[in-house]
Amino acid sequence: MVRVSERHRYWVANNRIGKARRDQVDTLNTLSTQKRINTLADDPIGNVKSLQLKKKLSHLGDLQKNIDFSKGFLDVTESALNEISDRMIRAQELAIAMANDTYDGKNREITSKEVRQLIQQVIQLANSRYGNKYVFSGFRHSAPAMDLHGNFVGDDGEIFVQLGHSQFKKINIPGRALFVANAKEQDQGHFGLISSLDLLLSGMENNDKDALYRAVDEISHQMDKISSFQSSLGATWAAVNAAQKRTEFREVQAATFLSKVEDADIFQSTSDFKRAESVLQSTLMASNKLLQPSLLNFLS
Amino acid sequence: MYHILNIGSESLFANRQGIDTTAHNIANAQTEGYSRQRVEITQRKPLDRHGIIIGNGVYVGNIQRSHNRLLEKQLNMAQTDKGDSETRLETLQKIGSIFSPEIDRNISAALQKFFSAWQDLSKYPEEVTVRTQLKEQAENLADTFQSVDSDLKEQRHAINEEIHQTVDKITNRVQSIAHLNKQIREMEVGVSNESNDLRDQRDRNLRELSEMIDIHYYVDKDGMTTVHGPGGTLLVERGHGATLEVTKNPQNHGLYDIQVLGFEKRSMREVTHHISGGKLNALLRVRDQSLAGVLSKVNHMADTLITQMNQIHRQGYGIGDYRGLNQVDFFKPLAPELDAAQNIQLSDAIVGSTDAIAAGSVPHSVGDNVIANQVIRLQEDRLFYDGKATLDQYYGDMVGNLGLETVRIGQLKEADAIIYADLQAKRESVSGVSLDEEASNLIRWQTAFTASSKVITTVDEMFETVLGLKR
Repeated sequence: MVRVSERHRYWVANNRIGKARRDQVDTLNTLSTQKRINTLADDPIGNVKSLQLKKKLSHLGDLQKNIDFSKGFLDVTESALNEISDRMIRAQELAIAMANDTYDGKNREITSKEVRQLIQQVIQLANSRYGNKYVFSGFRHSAPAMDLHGNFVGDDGEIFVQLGHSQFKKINIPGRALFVANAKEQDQGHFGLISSLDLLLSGMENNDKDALYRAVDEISHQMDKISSFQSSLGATWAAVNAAQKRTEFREVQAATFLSKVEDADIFQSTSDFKRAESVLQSTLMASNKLLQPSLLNFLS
Repeated sequence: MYHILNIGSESLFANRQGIDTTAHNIANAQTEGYSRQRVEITQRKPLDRHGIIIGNGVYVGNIQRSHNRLLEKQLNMAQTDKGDSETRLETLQKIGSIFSPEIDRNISAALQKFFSAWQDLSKYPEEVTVRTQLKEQAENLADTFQSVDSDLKEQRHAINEEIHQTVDKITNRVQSIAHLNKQIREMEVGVSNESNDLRDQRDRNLRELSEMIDIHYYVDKDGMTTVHGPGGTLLVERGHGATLEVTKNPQNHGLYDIQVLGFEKRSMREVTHHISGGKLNALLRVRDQSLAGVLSKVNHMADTLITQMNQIHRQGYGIGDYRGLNQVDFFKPLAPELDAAQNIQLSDAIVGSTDAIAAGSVPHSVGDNVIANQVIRLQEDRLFYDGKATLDQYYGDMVGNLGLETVRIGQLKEADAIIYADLQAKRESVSGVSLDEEASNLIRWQTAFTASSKVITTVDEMFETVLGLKR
């Protein structure tokens, strides 16, 4: 026969009540924080997951900012490029028209004024800014890419921005490549974009038809160059848009996953709390009955 | 007739002793470590009178405690395990609270904000506000490392102090046991029964000792307990008790080692690495393994960050006064013997001016972000475990392992508690006092006592009858 001693009775009662109270406090914690993981030991693996997911979410936020920045930068670059292209088309039209014998020196001189304006407009477009950054200046983007005479004064800096994990994308068109002829082009007798317009201008002013013919060729070379940059810009756009879609998708995914790892199931925890509460109450009631009497109470 | 009177008075004495012991049991019903006592009453040797053997009454043969020595030993072993796992869980939880998921200001978050600031710098390398923000985030990161390091060291200090206190308590118990050995010996010389209450006290001391440290013990032929401690050291022999002391170990950050001083303090032995159970073992293991591991990982992380950051940063150029200068450190380089997490701070150049933050790879290039992008990549570089883990993964691994260890020890503690509770219940069922039982004993002894006194009054009446014959 197992004897039940006095101390044992109290000890059992204490233990049971203690356990019931601890369970109740645990469920209360879950309920009040709405989080499943409140200490390191609640779910170590889940905790590490949630750490990583939080880091990922914050990183995706950074990427989103990078993407917005890239889009703004590309926008300015693209519209500048398109407008420069429009000006070149106009210059081309004028060059072809004025090379015609039906026009005389007088006509050409008048038209030269428009060309002069075109040159100023292109210089202005080359100095397009995103915020306070001159988009064609390379790394020297706090200063204009071109001086008043159309000389390129930026550098060759390529601005890379992170768009994804280990994915850095070049988002600028370094002005030198666009506005200045490289060694190969110079060998072929080409020159810079502004110089081609200057050739047109001097052809008009000096009534030099040969110069106008050469200007037509040169301007069409420059236009080819511009459209090749436009298409590479299109590729960058595609990459940025893809990165944005990916980032948004991953953000939703990570947030959903984080909530799964971290958040308590409210219905579950409410019913857990109710259960713990009733367990505690019945334990207290039973303990009261268990502890009260002994034979001594009934001796007279 | 005198014979009857004698039987009556002896029976009166024996039953009174019964009530006496019952009272003692009731009085000690709630005393820790008390074993209930039983009066063993025995028939006296019968008399041969005129060829007839007649009964000769009763006497108190012995007062014994209900006690199971094997159970007691098992209970002590369980107590050692319980003391170990309970203390280990408690201290691990304290360390865990430093990395609690509820604290937003943790190393992982600070690192993320730091790299986030570099992302901004990569987009706006020329902006002063962006540079200032980066500097602030870097300071925040350094502060976070420092506060985690100091929290951990505070815990280590607290554990170390607890080791000191525990060692003092052990010495105290050891001395008590030696003292009780002497008292028991003195009391039991020449008497037939054991000194129940002193033995209970000694058992209680042994139990408390078991909770703190792993021991082996046996009772010798004179009823004295010999206790062996960790590494076979002799803690108690007859009336002599050893002393345990702590000494600072300069090889272990000046933390305490544990020495056993022999009797009369003649010999001294270091037992720190021989301790294998109890609260003391838990404290030592958490201090020298779990906590030391976390601390060294945090420091390794800080150290790696400082080295890698400086390596990249030194290649770059700042702006303003620093536009033509490279070889500028980001964090202050530390001497190898210093704890990196404790001493991490920005280099003087960067504290002096945010212009010193190098984002560019070539001199005089304000908008250059090549170095900033390299720093961003650092976050994805697998710098740890021979190229297997990034900064974040290393941190996650450290925190995860600490959590897993806590869970494991928590389960161990539950198991130890159940085993202990089971043995405790068994012990209580043998040695514990039940008031119901004592109440019925009280009635039993009282009835017998009343009956015995009736015998005496009857004899008295008989005497009167006999004396009345002469009248």
